[in-house]
Amino acid sequence: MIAGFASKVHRKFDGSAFELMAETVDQALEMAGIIPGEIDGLVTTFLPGVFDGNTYLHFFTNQVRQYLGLRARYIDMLDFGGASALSMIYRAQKAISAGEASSVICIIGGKASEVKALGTTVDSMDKVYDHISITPFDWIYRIYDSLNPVSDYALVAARHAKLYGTDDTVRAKLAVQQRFNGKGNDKAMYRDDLTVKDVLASPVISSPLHLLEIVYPVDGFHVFVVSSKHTSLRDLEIKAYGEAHWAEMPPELPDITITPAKDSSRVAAFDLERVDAFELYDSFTTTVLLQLEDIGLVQKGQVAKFIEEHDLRYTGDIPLNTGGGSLNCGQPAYMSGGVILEEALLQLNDMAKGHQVKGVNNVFINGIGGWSRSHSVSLVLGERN
Amino acid sequence: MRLSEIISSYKSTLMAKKLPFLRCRACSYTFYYTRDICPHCHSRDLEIMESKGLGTVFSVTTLLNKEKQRTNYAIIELDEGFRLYSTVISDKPVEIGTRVSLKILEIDGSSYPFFVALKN
Ligand SMILES: [Zn+2]
Repeated sequence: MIAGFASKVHRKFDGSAFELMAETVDQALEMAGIIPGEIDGLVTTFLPGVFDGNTYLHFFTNQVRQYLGLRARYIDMLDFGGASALSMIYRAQKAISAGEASSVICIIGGKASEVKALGTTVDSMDKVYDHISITPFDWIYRIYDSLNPVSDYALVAARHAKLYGTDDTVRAKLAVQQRFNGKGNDKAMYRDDLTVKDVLASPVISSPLHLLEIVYPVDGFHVFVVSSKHTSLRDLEIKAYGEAHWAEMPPELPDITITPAKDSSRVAAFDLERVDAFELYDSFTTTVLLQLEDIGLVQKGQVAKFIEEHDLRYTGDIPLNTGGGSLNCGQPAYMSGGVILEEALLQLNDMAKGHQVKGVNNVFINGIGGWSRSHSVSLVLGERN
Repeated sequence: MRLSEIISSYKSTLMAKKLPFLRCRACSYTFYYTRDICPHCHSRDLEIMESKGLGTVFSVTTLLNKEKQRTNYAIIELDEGFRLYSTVISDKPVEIGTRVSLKILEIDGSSYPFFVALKN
């Protein structure tokens, strides 16, 4: 199913996004042993300002294909933010199964540095450009000072702490265990030792969230080649899959500590006992804790106890974000989906040198995306039966 | 009701230093964000109400704004049941559960709801 994959990530890439994308595509195709002429499908995503600094690229999939010289008979464009990457390979596989394509290239990425240079983040692009909206209600709430999206997750972390006593230490412990995993990963940007004290001593950006609990946006691409062709990679299949897309403004949610991962994981309905590693979306420490509860590893509100009782390192009893996650690898183009999907593929193919979990047959991956945690995609990858 | 009517009614209510909200006549759901359809039951039988302006801090985060001033970005739950993003004006840290009351402020010629802690 997955014939090849690649990533190219830089703190700041000085060349063009098209150039970096093409390099990443080349590398993924090389692994797959597929020539560009064999690709007949494309699935990608786009966030304003992030690809190459343009707020909008007219007919984006045309521009991607024009640059790569790619004619296609299947195209899809997803809009789930960080969760898009997971859905890309599912939809590509579905198109192949339906005979609509034979080899589909999935591309996610861009240059976060273009947005950072404006002194903003992708979810606050409306503050620097006219004619960009975040919601249909911007006129009545975007006047308040916030650090969207950090402050929105901070509100969730604060509420979780109030309801369940999930204090700063719990989130810091998660960050420390992810760093341990990142130390063995040569793709990780942050590989120094990290302690709970270090996390808590880092500046509070939006209380209660500290700097070391927040992803660092970077430039980069992830490319996944989904194909009917067999390659040297392990023959994987999607064992379980679920999506959930919620409609509320965050203040309207009955409970802001619950994410749509609760619904997407229920749709996926996979026995978690059979999972050998978990790759959960880690835009913030809080995001991971919420998913641990929402996918059903532990009851809502009990995650502090869970963190206490389990070893989440790649050598532990519940390996989680085994390559350090995007908290340590950086978040290309404000979307962590490519990072966690690539890590799952490394684990399943026994290619995770220095952070390989022993005997990985099934990996549970969960992506959260869109402003305000509106999307979740749950995906289990494992060897074809 | 057209969306444009809802928005202009909201603006004049805010200008009069009151907090508007929407109530669905079909299912009684109350909400703040301006839609001409009930997000719960999809009825279009809505009415615009005026809040008493009393509520509770549902969640709050403190951050530094562009001018490096501390600000308390919050979700406020009004006594009528609806919630909205706002800011609690306070020099001191604000806790979840704090009772607050409405304070309308004018920004660039338009009025917006802010909140202050109620003195006990
Ligand atoms: Zn209704």
